Amino acid sequence: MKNCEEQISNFINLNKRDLAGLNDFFGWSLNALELKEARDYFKKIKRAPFRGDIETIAQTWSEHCKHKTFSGPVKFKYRGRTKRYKNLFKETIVKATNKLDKSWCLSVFSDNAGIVEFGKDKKWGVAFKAETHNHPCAIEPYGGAETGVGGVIRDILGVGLGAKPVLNTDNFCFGRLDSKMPLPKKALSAKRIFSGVVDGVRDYGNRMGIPTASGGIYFDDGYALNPLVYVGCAGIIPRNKIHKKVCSGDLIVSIGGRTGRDGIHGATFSSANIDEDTSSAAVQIGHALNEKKVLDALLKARDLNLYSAVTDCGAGGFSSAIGELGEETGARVYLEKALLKDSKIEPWEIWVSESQERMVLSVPKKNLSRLKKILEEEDCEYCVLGEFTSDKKLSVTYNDETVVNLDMLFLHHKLPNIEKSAVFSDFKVSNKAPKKPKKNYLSILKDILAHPNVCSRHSVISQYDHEVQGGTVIKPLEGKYGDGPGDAAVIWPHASTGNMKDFSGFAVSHGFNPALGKIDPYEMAMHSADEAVRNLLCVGANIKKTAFMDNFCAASPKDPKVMGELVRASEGCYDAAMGFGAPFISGKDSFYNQSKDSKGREYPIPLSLLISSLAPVEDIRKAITMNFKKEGNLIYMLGMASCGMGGSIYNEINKSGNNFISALNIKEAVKLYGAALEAINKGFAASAHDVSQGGFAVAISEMAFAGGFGADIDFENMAKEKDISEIELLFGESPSRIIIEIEKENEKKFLSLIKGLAIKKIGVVKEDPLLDIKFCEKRLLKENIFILKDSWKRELL
Amino acid sequence: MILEIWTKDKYAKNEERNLINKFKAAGFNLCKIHISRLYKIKGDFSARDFKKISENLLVDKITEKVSLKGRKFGSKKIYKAEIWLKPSSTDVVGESVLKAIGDIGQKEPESARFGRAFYFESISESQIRLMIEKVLINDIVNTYKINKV
Repeated sequence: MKNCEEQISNFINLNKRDLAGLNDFFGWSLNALELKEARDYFKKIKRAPFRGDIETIAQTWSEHCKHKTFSGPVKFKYRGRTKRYKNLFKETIVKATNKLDKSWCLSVFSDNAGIVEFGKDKKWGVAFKAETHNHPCAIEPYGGAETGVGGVIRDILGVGLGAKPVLNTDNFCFGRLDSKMPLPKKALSAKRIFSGVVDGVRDYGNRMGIPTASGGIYFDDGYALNPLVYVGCAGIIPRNKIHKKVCSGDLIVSIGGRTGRDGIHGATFSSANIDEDTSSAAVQIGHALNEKKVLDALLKARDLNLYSAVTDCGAGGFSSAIGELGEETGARVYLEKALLKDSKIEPWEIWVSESQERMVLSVPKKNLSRLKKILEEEDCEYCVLGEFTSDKKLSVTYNDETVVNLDMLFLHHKLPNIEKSAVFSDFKVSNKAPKKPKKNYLSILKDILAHPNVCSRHSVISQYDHEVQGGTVIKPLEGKYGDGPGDAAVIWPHASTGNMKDFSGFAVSHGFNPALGKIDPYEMAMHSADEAVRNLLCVGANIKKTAFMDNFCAASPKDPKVMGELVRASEGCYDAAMGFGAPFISGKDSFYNQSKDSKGREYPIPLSLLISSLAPVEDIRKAITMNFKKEGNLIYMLGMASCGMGGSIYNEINKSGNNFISALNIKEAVKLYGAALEAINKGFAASAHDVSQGGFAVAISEMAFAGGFGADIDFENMAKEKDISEIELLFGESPSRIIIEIEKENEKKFLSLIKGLAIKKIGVVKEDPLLDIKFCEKRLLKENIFILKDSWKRELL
Repeated sequence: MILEIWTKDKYAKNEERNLINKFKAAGFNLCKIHISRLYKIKGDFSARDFKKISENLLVDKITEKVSLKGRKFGSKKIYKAEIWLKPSSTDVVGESVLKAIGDIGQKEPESARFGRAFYFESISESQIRLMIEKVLINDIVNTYKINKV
């Protein structure tokens, strides 16, 4: 250790090997080029760095803070051609947003969250952000999930001058609960991680008074060692509070939790693979009540215009928060003024600690006494750490000792770019007719309904308070018995706008299917976007104003194949956004989701892309749910059933021999969805539900048992591809399909809306609780809906 | 001083059954377990002060019992496992209790930490160790000790 400390004082003279050794010892996760850049900088300014200097550089240049993989150059080889991206993110996802240039997008990719216009009077914005907290959850699921939720809530508090959180979302990926896969010694079982993560999300969200009402759970052994925990938050912000500006001379005020040794190196931890010796210091436990105090105090102060900028202390702690806020001005920080949890902490540790529940404000001096009064009223601790300057330098001291002294220009603009190699080879695909299954269709349907990626999530959902704030119009569990799977959450944020006469709301949903990505990452992105849009449509949201969020999780980007999949998925995102006219407004990426398995081999996760979507619901009173409503209503199928069983749940259970993924025809989809939206807006539709995992048979079963009605279905009239098999009709997961229930008296008006589109009547809702599916005269399956429900309603926890 | 609080037998069954099921899911069969909450409170407090803290803050007299001397089980051979958060881990409950003691008119203690105790009947210490490590603790954030009572 001493030797290493000495080496820092000799940093400017170190060679590549010594720099690498030092980097490993201190856990900075800097690569050789970055270390060289740092060394050359200190050589140029003719001094050895302080420990705090390099820690600050490591935090600021971390994958977590700079997203350097996604924002860096990529050389992509595919089908014999080479394409070069200078900035993959900007040339795919951001490019679509810029091209679409929607006037209702108020803030995109420039702040802690994306913001879109909201409300009849257009006085509001909805801010939306999702984060991942994968690495911490693998090690300490409860604390990791809690602090993940806490972090994304602070992103919403720290967007613009602060938004009020009105919805939390949660999407998880775990190893199979019935897995027989041997785990390395230190790894926690999937069940343990699952239950800890759910407890953490529940305890933090419920205590904060924010409804957790939207999400999903996906099981695959690819996540056995690296679970994924996506946590999201949406908030309401007055339109005139969207812009922040730090002014020279403003005070740097930290509010909320105290600083301790917990969470040192969390940001740099995200740039490394998890191994057996991963330090516990990277994990923290959240304190929701402290964050609630911050929320209450912050919003009061915001409305009194007491500060000019705010951001959250997330990865990198003060170093990132103050470093980012002061990028254009400079900052002078006196660390001895920080409120500490304990005294055994080094000054550089105070600077980079990721202790939770802290926000940093830029406060004009004249406002400090009024701000203090509010903070004291809310019992929210605070300290004045220093001030923003105009010298564009980051100067940090502890008493008289210098901790950091860096140029902002170097810190924020000199991160060296390394071109990453990406290669992609098309997966071998077969589109022959699916093999005849050994079981009958009914048994297969019951197996699929009970599959962990299809079955009921009630044992998780019911732990979350999804009613708090009184604005959850469409809930995660819907239907006659309050236990059907809702497609999207609809929120009416009247408690935040204070306007009970404006029935504007918004819907949030997700699309996620890594099984498709294993075959074709491009189609995975397209299908996920399509699923997210369909979910919004099924509750009656105005999908013409859909905003997307991308959230990528991948294994090591040092592997060109991983990068190749990422490029294909990003290209899919671009095409999906352009096709649907739906811009991405924010995003997040998490790499290095791989670990060593019990035999010491690298075990990467499959490429995982969560597309979250948000769209306005112009009148929440017209929102619809997914359960059948009335006997005699007509069942229409929107969209064409296409051949292909690739990535389906059926294939996981029965191996059809067909792994073809039916391509998404966005142009056709947009026309269909436009007609469906009009039908819903005009009140013709009683219910709607998308056909996704498990295929048609699962979707129709869910609509039936959630409503307590049976249905007679015949595939004869369904719009379908020539020569499609019964298996594909029942269990295929081809995109762009929605089942819609039309009231009989509205059928004529409905038909006038859908002329020339692939929308066909396929059946009728029945009082008798039997689901009867035929193809021409042949009965494919018939069963009591409550027996089907029994298969579906498993206790996961 | 450690305040130990537990739910009276007639109200404790749900909580105990849930935990037994959790052990069962991890492959351990267990017939009986007793659960307590522990508050380690450091400060200049008399027995009377602790009584006030218990009654006014920590204990529901209808459903719970409290002791400063630990829980007694007659002549049964029982192991007690105490689980605490490591000093470096944030103890949210402990922090709240520390402040709340001040809020009910007592002196604020030097420290307050929250833990849990589990009483196992008819199982060996080594088996208990295994069960605890697999189901109840994460050695990243927790410490534990096992004693015969």
